[in-house]
Amino acid sequence: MPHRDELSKAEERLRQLKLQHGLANTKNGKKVVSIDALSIAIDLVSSIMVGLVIGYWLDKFFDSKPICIIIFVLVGSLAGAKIIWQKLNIKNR
Amino acid sequence: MANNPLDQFLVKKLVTINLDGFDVSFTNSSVYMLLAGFIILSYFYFALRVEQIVPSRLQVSAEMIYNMVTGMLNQSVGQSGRKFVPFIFTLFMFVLLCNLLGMIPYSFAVTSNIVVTFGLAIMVFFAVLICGFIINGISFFSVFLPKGMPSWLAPLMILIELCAFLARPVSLSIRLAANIIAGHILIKVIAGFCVSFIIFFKFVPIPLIVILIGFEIFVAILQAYIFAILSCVYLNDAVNLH
Repeated sequence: MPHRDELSKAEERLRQLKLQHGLANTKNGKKVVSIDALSIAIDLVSSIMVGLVIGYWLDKFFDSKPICIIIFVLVGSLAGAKIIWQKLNIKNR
Repeated sequence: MANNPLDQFLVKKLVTINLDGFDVSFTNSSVYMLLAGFIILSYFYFALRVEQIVPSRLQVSAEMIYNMVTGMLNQSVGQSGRKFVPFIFTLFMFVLLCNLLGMIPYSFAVTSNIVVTFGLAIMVFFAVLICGFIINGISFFSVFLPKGMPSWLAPLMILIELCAFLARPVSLSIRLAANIIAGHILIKVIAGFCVSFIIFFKFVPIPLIVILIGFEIFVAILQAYIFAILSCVYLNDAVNLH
C-alpha cells in the first residue's frame, strides 16, 4: 500500500530531524519533568548543604579552618544555581 | 491538653529485637511498609491472575500503571531504558502506597521519616553510579565535564558538577519527606483548631480539613510520580551521558 510506505518514510525523516536537533528523547519538543516551587528551593538548599559538608570535611582533613568551607559553600551555591537554571530551562523551552 | 503535631511522626517499637548490639526492632513503620508490600503484591496477583486479550477492568488498571512507568523510561532514557522498568516500577509503587497509607486516620506515614526516604534516594544514587560505570566504563566521568567549556574553566566546572551530582540524593529525599511532613502537620494543626475554637468558629475548620486531606492525597500521588520521574532523569545521565 503506497500510503503506508510514505508514512513510514516521513516518520523516518522526522526521527532523523529530531536526532539532529538533539530532541531525540522528547515529547512535543519538551523533556517532561514536573517541578514545583518547593522543589526548586529544596534543590538550592541541598546543594549548599552538600558544599558545606564537603568543605567542612576537607577542612578537618587539611586543618585549614575557614578556607575550604568558604570555597565549597560558594561552589555549592553555584551548583544550586546551575541546577535551578537547568530545570527552568527545560520547563520553559 | 494540646496535642503536639509532631507526635504523629514518632517511630514506636512494637517488638524489640536486638541482634548483637544492632537494634532491628519491628516498629510501626515496618508494619506499614509490610502492609504496602502486601497490598501491591495482592493487587497485581488478582489483576493479572487470568490474563485476557480483552482485559478486565482490574487488569486494565494494572496495565495502565505499567504503561505509565514504561512511558516515563522511554521518554527519559530511550529504548535502552527498558531494563530499568522493574526498578522504577517497584520504587514508584512502594512510594505511592507508603504515601497513601499515611493518609488513613491513625496510621503512620512511612515516607515522613527522613531515614526511609534517604535510604530510597541513596539506592537510586548508587544505581546510577554502578550502572554508569558498568555501561560506560571510565568515560562515565565525562558527565562531570559539560561540553563547550573553555579549558581554563574546567576545574571549577568539575567541582560544580560534582556538587550538583552529590546534591541529588539529598534533594530527592528531602523533597519527599518535607512534602509529606508539611501536609500532615498542617492537617493536625487545623484539626486542633476544630477542638479549641469550637465556641467562636463552630464547625468552620471541618470543610477546610476535608479540602486539605484531598489536597494531601493529590500531593502523595504527585510526589511519588516526581520521585520516579527524577530517578528516570538521573538514570538517563548514567546511560546516555548527556
